[in-house]
Amino acid sequence: MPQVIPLNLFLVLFFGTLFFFVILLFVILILIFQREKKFNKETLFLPISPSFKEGAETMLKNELEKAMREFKESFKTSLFQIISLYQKEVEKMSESVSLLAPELKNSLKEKTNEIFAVLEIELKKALSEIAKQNQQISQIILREAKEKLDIFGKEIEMISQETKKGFLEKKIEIEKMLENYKREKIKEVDEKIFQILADVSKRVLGKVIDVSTHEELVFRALKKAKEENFFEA
Amino acid sequence: MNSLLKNVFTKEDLISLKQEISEIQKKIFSQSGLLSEKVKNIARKELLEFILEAESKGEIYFDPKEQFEFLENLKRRLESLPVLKMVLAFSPPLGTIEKISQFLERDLGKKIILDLSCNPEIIGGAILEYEGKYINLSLAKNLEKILKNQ
Repeated sequence: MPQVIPLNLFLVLFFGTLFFFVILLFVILILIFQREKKFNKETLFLPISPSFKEGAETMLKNELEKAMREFKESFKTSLFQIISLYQKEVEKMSESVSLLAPELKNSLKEKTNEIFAVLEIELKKALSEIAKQNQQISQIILREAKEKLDIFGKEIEMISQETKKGFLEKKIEIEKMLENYKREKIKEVDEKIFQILADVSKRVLGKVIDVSTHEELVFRALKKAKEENFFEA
Repeated sequence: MNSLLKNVFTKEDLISLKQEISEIQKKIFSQSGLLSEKVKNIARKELLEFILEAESKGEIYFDPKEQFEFLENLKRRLESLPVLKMVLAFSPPLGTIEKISQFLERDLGKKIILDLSCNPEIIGGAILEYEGKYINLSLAKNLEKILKNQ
């Protein structure tokens, strides 16, 4: 594994440090300035010689630079130490991972194989079960269909027989109706003939029968009624 | 009773006799005396003889109620006489009616009242109805039978 600091991390640390020092410088300047102002308010102003001022400034500058360098060095050292530690840890982890990886891989492979084997067995079982159930369902469907067909066939036969029976009954009924109609019509014709003959006879006989003949016919009727025991209770 | 019904042959004759009796009944309570005395001017000969015969037998006296009841009983007896319905092909004269009535009385031994009607359609003979029985002995019926058998 290469021991290189990532560029992003490096840039963050660098600019962070720079920003920290700039802020520190400003803080120091503000404090100095405020101290001077305070001094000016409460004390008398003492003029400073330009050489002294220049010397002080130089000294301060040097001190600041020194402090910055020291801090920089210290920070750099700490940073390198952290990086080094991190790199070591990473290396350790990498090593352990690299050591464990084949095992894991093998284990995973084995597990996967096991799962696949189990799945295959389960799948085979399920497929077998499904096939079995399908067969059973098919048999049931076939049996029911056959039964239905049988019933349907019987029903059709019954309907056919009933229809045939009904047709025959209807035929007989129609034949009877026709026969009755024929008989009635013949009867009607006969009656009409009889009526005509009777009418003619009545007209002819009615005119020719005299009272004595009528009397004779009446007595003949009474005698006949008596002979037939009509007057007996 | 036979003398009373001597000239009663038909239903109309019987109604007439019953009406006569009813008229007599109305006058019973307005007069006193025997019934024969009360009816001698208004009743027919046969009825008067019938009443006299009853009085001679002691069946009725002077009591108007008794007289009324006697006549009421007579009406009931007349109403109970048997009736023979006869349909004839002609309108029979009185002589024929009398002959029929006498024939029935002689041959059957009882007085039968005739309920006569005329229908020329029957040609001849008679259709008879007596005590719920019916018989068609008309010539038309005989003719019909003959025609049908042919």
